[in-house]
Amino acid sequence: MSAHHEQSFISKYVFSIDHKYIAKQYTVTGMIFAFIGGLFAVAFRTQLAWPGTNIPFIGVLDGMKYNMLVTNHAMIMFFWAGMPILLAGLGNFVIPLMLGADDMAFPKLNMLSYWIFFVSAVLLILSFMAPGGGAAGGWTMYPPLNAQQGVDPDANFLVNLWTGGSLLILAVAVEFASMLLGGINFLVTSLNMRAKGMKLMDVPAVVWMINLATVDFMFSVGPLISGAVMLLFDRIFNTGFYDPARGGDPILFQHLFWFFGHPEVYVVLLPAIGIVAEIVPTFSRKPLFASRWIIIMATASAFIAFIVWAHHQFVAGIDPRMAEFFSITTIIISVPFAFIFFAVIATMFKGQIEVKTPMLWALGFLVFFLVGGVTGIFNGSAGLDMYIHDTYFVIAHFHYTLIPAVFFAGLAALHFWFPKATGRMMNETLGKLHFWITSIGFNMFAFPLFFSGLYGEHRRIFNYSSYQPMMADWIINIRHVATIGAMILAAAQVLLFINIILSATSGEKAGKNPWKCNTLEWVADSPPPHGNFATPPSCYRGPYEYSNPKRSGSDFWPQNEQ
Amino acid sequence: MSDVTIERVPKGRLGVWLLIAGEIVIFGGFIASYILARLEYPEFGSKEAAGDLNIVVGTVNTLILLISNWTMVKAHEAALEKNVAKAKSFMIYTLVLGLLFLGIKLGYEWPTDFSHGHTISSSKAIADQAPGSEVMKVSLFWSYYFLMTGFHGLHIVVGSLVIFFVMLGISGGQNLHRVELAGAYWHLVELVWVILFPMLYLIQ
Amino acid sequence: MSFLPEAYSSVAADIYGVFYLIFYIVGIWFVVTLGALFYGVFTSLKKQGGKAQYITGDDWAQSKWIWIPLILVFMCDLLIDVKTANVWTKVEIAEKMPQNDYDVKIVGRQFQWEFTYPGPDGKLFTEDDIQIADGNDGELVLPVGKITKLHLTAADVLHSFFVREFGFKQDVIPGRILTRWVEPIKEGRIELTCAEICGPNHGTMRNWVKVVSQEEFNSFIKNLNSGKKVAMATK
Ligand code: HEM
Ligand SMILES: [Cu+2]
Ligand SMILES: [Cu+2]
Repeated sequence: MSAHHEQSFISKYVFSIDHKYIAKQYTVTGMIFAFIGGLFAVAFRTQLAWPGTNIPFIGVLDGMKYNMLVTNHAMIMFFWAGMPILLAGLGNFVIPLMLGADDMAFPKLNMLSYWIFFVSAVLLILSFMAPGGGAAGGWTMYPPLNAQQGVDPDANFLVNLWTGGSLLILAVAVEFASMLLGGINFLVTSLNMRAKGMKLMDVPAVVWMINLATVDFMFSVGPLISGAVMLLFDRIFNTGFYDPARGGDPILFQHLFWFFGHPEVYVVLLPAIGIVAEIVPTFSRKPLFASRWIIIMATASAFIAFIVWAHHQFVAGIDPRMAEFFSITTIIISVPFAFIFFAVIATMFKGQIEVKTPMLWALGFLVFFLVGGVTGIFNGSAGLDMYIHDTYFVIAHFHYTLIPAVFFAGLAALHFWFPKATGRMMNETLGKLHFWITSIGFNMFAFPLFFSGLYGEHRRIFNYSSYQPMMADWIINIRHVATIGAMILAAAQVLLFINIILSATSGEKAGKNPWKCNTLEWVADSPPPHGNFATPPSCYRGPYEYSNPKRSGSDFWPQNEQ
Repeated sequence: MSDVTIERVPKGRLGVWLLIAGEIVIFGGFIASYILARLEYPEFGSKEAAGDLNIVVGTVNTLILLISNWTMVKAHEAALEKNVAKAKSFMIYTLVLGLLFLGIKLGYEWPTDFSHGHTISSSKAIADQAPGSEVMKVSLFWSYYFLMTGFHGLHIVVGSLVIFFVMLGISGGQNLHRVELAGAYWHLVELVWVILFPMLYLIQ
Repeated sequence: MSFLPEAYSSVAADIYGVFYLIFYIVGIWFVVTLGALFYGVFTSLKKQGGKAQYITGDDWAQSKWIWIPLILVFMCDLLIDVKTANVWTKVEIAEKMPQNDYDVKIVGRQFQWEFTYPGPDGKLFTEDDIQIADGNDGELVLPVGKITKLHLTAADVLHSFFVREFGFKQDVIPGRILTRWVEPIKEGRIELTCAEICGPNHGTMRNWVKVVSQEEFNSFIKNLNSGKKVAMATK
């Protein structure tokens, strides 16, 4: 291999500045981490169902190891799986293509974002290797516990930096920096690089949602970055920002955390809704119902997301009057989401629905997310949350929102845009089998937890044998079912792996527009070359003109065709 | 059909504005925490706490930053006139003033604070000796002081580096628009200081 | 069969009431929405043939199909808001707290619960308070039918005072004393757990609440004061 060759290999496959390639880097990294996070979950669920099981590579879980796995499971799923896949990966792929642009506004910054993200992943992995093991204080990182655990107040700061907790905080902070830079790129690209003629309301819903998610992220993450710096300083420099014995306030961190934490949920959720809003019209051959209002409602929810955070703190000791305010805002936020939900359902009425795999995953998202959505009302009402807070009811609820978002919508997107990204179709049979097994595993895992949660099974407990009511037969059965469900869910992903490999190498050739879709990415070749479009497309209409009677001879009307 | 073109802001400017917005929210987190702590402990403003801060030096430093912002505006004007030499010299003035600020902060103010026994973690020693005392609460002030001035100092460093590299990059008369971007960032650094200065030094 | 634990406090029934209200409202919405979804899909499948209709949902005639349900959702939300605010006010707002008969201080510490009762002077937070810690004697004893004010705090990190059968939990915070109240309505021995992660042994931080008759409680206090049964006195 000549030196010249070497060079181009690195700039093409490692330090690529092509948004499509960076999207793949994010997505693949995210999927690997999603799998790791899932395995963590299977490991600690195994301990719950069969306490004392010797788990490969980890051993028998004691309280510390259990907490460590739970903490990092959540961290990984949010920051190294959910965000890289749904925000960074998807956003990088679809934004320039759907806007008809040749690349992101700042391609080099884009590459930098990915590699900063990569560094954060390395820091995360290092955190497991620190003496004392990974962080184990819950993903919310509440002080004082997380300002103390693993820290030796008399040791020098490098020693305290080299602990699971400190490294994890650092890793998360670096990850945020990466996503911030990536977010700047998204917003500038979307504002500045739309195809000629593309008005804001012609921008596809998924791009809107990704940008709303970006805004939510960028304007909520600041306080958590500062909160995390203060927590890190408490750990390594012996400050007392959160130490009540020295005048600090542990509840302060909770506010900083959840001011970010709630919008963060929307960072994952909004792109997922966007994906579904693209797929459902395409496979129903109908316009997205009241699409303008969907955007308005999503924008409204993205703003309301900033004034609901304390619903995570109803019982944390905040002023009870404040809790009442947050309870009301939280329940009201169901209104914009209900609108979006109804509108997506209305889109399907009187359509011509073809249930290909992307549509199947999108329908799965709708059905299961509905469970998560309605159960949110229970948690949001302060008068009830004081009972169900920190029980498995909450666990079941948010897994019914996050798994549909990250897995179901994420996989819908993967199956939908795979032909564009690789030029080949994914295997339908394998895809459907994968869907059904995943759905069965997921529901077996999550649904029973509502009941044990209602009975008062509280979370982050490594062994329930200390608790008599929690050792009732039916609760033990629930634990077994949930664990077997989690195992099925994890095992099913082997099918995905096979499907990806098979389809990428020998799948049917896709052509430019296999789904007969209107948006601009389908104008480009599959896969699009560097620079995307042979001639920059112009935009003449909104993205959802399916079955328009004015258009004769075809049931779709691409945005770029006059 | 329609041939609408959208009013488009240059992408560099848009990007820097968004970056600044993001940074403001980060500082917002510190500032909000500080204000909350201060509401809980009015002692923060007392002689025992902020009394050891040297308002004169603080004011001088504030003036230095203000002047450096003026020189940066001048550099921007020169860049608009495509006058590279002038832009460069004003950028050098800005850099010198920025470093002067940093020098006073790190070389004079902080060491003086240390000599009075104030460090970012001085609350620890105090809490060990006199748990629950008023002094202890006051010492939290110094944690916030070092945290926020330190973080601001970091931005001075980053801002100076940006100005420095932009300055190198415009030698041949190209990339002059970057002067504006570096200037915008420098204004952020100044803006933050203008908020921190009264909060830490003046309101007693 | 109800999945909620048996109610041992006067407010548990109210709290469960919020659950049932939400359950029925949301349950109906869930069924209706899911029904609409499946109806929509199964009546519009391509294999049934026909043509997709061009419905944009932009005019009222079409969009009323979602605006009207949306207004109903909003009204249901308000109903839930009112109900939940009532219960919340009753349990949590200090001014609404009923006059209490007894006081007890409860401290969470890694990884046990400690209870402090008033000493002979009958007042909490005085010199002669008596503290009992974990172990056989260290259970939280409360009289049935009387209102006890709980003064909750923590010694080291956050914990959460959670008695399932009472229907509520409260995080406890070092450096702060939060007050809640409870009126047990049933005698028995129920679990007190910690519901906020507090370290490696969070999972074993369990104690008991013993709800006893007035006579038993009187003799418990008497024994406590005579130092017969108890561990140690603190400041
Ligand atoms: C493979 C699928 C998954 C399984 C089997 C699973 C299982 C679990 C279980 C059983 C817990 C509760 C542990 C405990 O409290 O003791 C948990 C916690 C959690 N999970 Fe998952 N989960 C999965 C996917 C996800 C995803 C996709 C996300 C988010 C994007 C997520 C976020 C969380 C969070 C935030 C917690 C709370 C952690 C804490 O208490 O600190 N999980 N998971
Ligand atoms: Cu939330
Ligand atoms: Cu605990």
